[in-house]
Amino acid sequence: MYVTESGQKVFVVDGHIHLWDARPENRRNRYGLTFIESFWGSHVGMTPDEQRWNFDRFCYYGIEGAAKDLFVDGYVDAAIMLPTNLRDFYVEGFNTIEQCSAFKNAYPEKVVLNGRFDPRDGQKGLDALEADFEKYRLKGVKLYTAEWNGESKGYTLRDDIVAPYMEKCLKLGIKNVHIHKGPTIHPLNLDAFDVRDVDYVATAFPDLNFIVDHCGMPRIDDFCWIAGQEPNVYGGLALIPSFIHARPKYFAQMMADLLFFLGPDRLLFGSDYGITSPKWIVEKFMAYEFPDDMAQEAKTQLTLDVKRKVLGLNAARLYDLDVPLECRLPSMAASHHEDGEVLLGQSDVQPGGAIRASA
Amino acid sequence: MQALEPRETAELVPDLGEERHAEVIAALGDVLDPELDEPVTDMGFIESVTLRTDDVEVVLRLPTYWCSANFAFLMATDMKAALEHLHWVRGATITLVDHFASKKINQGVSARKGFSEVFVGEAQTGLDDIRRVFGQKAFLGRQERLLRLLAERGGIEDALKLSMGGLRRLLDHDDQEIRSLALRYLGMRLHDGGSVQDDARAFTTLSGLPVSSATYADHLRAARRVRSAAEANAEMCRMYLSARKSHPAPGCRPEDREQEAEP
Repeated sequence: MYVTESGQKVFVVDGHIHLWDARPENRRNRYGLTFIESFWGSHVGMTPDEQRWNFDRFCYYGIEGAAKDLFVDGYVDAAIMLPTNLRDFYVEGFNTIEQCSAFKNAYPEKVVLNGRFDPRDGQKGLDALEADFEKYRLKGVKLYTAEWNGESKGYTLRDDIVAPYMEKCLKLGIKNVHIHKGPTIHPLNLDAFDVRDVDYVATAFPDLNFIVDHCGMPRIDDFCWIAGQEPNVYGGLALIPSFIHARPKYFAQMMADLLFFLGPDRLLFGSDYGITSPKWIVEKFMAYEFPDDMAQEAKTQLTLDVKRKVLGLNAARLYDLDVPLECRLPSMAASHHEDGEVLLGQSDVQPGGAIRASA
Repeated sequence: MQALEPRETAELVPDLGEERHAEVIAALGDVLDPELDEPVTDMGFIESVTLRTDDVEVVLRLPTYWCSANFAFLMATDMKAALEHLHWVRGATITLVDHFASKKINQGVSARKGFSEVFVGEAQTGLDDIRRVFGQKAFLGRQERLLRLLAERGGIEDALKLSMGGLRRLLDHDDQEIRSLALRYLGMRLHDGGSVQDDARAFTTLSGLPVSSATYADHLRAARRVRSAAEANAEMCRMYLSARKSHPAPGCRPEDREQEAEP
């Protein structure tokens, strides 16, 4: 929980965290090194100097390290874990649901453990999802559409194999589907960069929430366009708030676009931990105000209420988390629908058919 | 632009070394990262240039080991072509280093193969489609920069009236910023946005409709979104590349390269 100077309490949900193991003994091959090296570049580039870790800690911080960075230092009341297998690179996997569940067991009240599935696994995958649900009572899953699987170098959410999995999620009550649409990570389709398939599946399954992690970056312009049209598409911000230190101008531009198109009720804060820690991001975000021109572009200033929604209340709503009374907005339930309509009513003409088609 | 010291100058024609090095850098300066619409030289992607009598080797290093193979392939192909346009260059070798697909890309570009030949079964989209999509984004981004600047200087109404002839005349404008933005926009406008006759409108949508005073606010806003997404990406790439140089991970320094083995 973050407390402002005037004593206002802000409930913080870190919507995007990992507990990974990239230690040398867990690396299967050189890919295991170069994969964590790419993340390391992000850590070094975005983290303020005095908050930077050394490479060994970056490769593995363990349950205690994570608990300190998130719950003690980082103002985080609840953290959503998104598993990543990557068994081709790491002997025991990089950040598997089993690895993540140890953190959940240690902090059951604070950790939300999400699962994963790959629709190309057919019936076996459906059974595994159900078994994971029985074991972990999942409320969300994470998908990597660009992941390799045998001969396949990726799939899209339009593929026929996807619908049975979405129906299974509905049946089990797993209502939050996170989709990695961000900077390319391997194994991946060499040309995967599209966000259009989210549009399709979001229309087909209006009762599921689709959280597009990293807001489609580096295709944030395309993502904004799609998300603006689909009320059940959410922006998982992870990566975007991390610009606030090293590149505040670009942080502001991206946030302004996202607020304009999605409104303040459909954006979920995430630090992408351990790429970097939430502590400094939350502090800088709470202190940040848009310059006037950006507030105009966004159609809103980053008011305390907007910050509260983005930092925690939106994720709490999706994941049914209990928000202490003093952190709630009295107006939240009433205003949230209206805001969306006002924002969507702002016309934003797409400049040409071709770009629209590529969006 | 990054200052690059020639590693080796032309041994047989030492007087030409410096001049030719400058020509190489200028030629590379015309090669753009298609995703970012910025020159590879400005992005700091060129690690070294080695000149020999009539050939040149350029080492290309991107921000991460896992940067998209398709953009890497496009840049390497364009770099090779740009260098082979220089009259004294008989052959140009582009060596991509510290990248998961470096072997395939280096061999493919050297053999003048197409992307889909090199990555059989892995790539579903042809590079021409990718070029087209990002060319359209570049059109909007460049237009937005020029239009916004002209509107600041002389008002939006006048700016929107600019004709293609007027756009061409801006290349001789006193203001260097206007000249440079006009040149960049003209480069894209000649391919997209309708008629390029002198009396046609300069500021058009991709499909060729003039941007009017009734639509410019929305149009500019959408164009700015496209431009700022590309700029934010470019900044991300710069941060990562600079970190890769200043804080290399143990085992990932340039001197560790020979360990590179593809599993």
